[in-house]
Amino acid sequence: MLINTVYRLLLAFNSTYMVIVVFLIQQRYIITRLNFLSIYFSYIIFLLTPIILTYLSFIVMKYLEDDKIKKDQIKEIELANNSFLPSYLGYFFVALGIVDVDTLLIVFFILFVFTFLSQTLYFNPIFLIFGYHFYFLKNVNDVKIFLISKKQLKKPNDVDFDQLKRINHYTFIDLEKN
Amino acid sequence: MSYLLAKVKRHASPYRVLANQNIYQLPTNLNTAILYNPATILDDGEWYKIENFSLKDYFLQYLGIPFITTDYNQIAINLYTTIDYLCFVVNDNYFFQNVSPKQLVEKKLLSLGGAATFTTDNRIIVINDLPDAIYTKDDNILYFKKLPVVKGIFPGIDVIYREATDLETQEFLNNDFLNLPEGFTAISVHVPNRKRIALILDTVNAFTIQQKTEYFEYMQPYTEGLNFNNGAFDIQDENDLTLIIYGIEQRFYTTPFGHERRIANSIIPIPVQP
Repeated sequence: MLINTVYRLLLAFNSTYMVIVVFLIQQRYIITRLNFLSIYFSYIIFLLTPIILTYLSFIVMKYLEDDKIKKDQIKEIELANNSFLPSYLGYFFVALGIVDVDTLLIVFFILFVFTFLSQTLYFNPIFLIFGYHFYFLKNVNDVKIFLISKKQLKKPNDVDFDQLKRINHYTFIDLEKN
Repeated sequence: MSYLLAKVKRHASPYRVLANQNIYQLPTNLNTAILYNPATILDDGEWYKIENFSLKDYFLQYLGIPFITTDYNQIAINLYTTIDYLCFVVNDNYFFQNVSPKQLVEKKLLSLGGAATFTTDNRIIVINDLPDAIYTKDDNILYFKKLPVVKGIFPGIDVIYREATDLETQEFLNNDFLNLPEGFTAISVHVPNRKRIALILDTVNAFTIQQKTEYFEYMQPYTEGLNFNNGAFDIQDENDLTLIIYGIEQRFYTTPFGHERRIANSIIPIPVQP
């Protein structure tokens, strides 16, 4: 139960953290210890932080609850890789419009809280970098779930998932590689 | 993979509790289970069975659809105290355990697995050695031992052995073949007899005069303690009433060798071979 909350906090943070990165870069913040280097080194560190945190979330993932979907239990597959784009563009434009740290903190806090509570918007595009895809799956009982998986899914009756991990009631992540 | 579900009061769909724990196994003696009959009393270890369970009114809807674990929400801590029953699922076999408030204990605990640890505020559900009911989906059979225990799991299952209502009991008592003492009414009849009355009421109501005579002739050798006058038995108390009900259920018999008169307190109908 606790692990699950930690993991969801991490996911919500990773999904919204880009707002801070965009703000830092737009405001030309640099890490003072690195001011002898090019400003781009600071930017790279800003950008790497969410990637490293996302990587950490894969380690926590192993301790989540197990679930399974057998063959012939899936009826519909819908690719959702691009669904994150509208909300992400939203985040970016908001971040570009912010001029001071106080506003940033408040905006980030609000986004973070609602992402965490909504339980559905865990679209973290960094997952794409690690080779994951996002899918909406509908099973034979007409229940729709959101799945994060490395598999390239296409034909509903071909797929089965032996090592699903439960992020929340609607969101599952698949540990299998292919 | 195996899963444990929990049905919570006032929530229609069960919740998922945990996975990959071997909580129950199929008992090896299910093949000797006896088709449920209210007149059958089980021996130790025996099971009743109900065949074609999915066609019954008291079948549970989620047993009829493919079991997909992602359909079930994870149980929240605040729901633990309102668990009605547990359902352990493995390979399309469903094992049920009723959870009465008695089985949900809150205790201080000294745990002795490895280093001794003491914890307070433990909420524990004690898992019985055997489940209260088992549903095997492949052959569509429900197994159970005690009807009152599974009543909470399968609402409405008690139609297979219900108590007669006050009205029905009184209807039975009003039969002209019973001579009742003053003040003997439906209230004087207790649960075991009420259940029997519920079963025989239709038979009794359909009696022809001819059948009545035949029944009473059959019963008389076994009810010598009772006065039989003008087609009616003199009933003194509930024990006498029980005897009459046994007679209507045709539980009296005489052994062919030795001629011992007996009452069958448990009955298993022998299926007719085609």
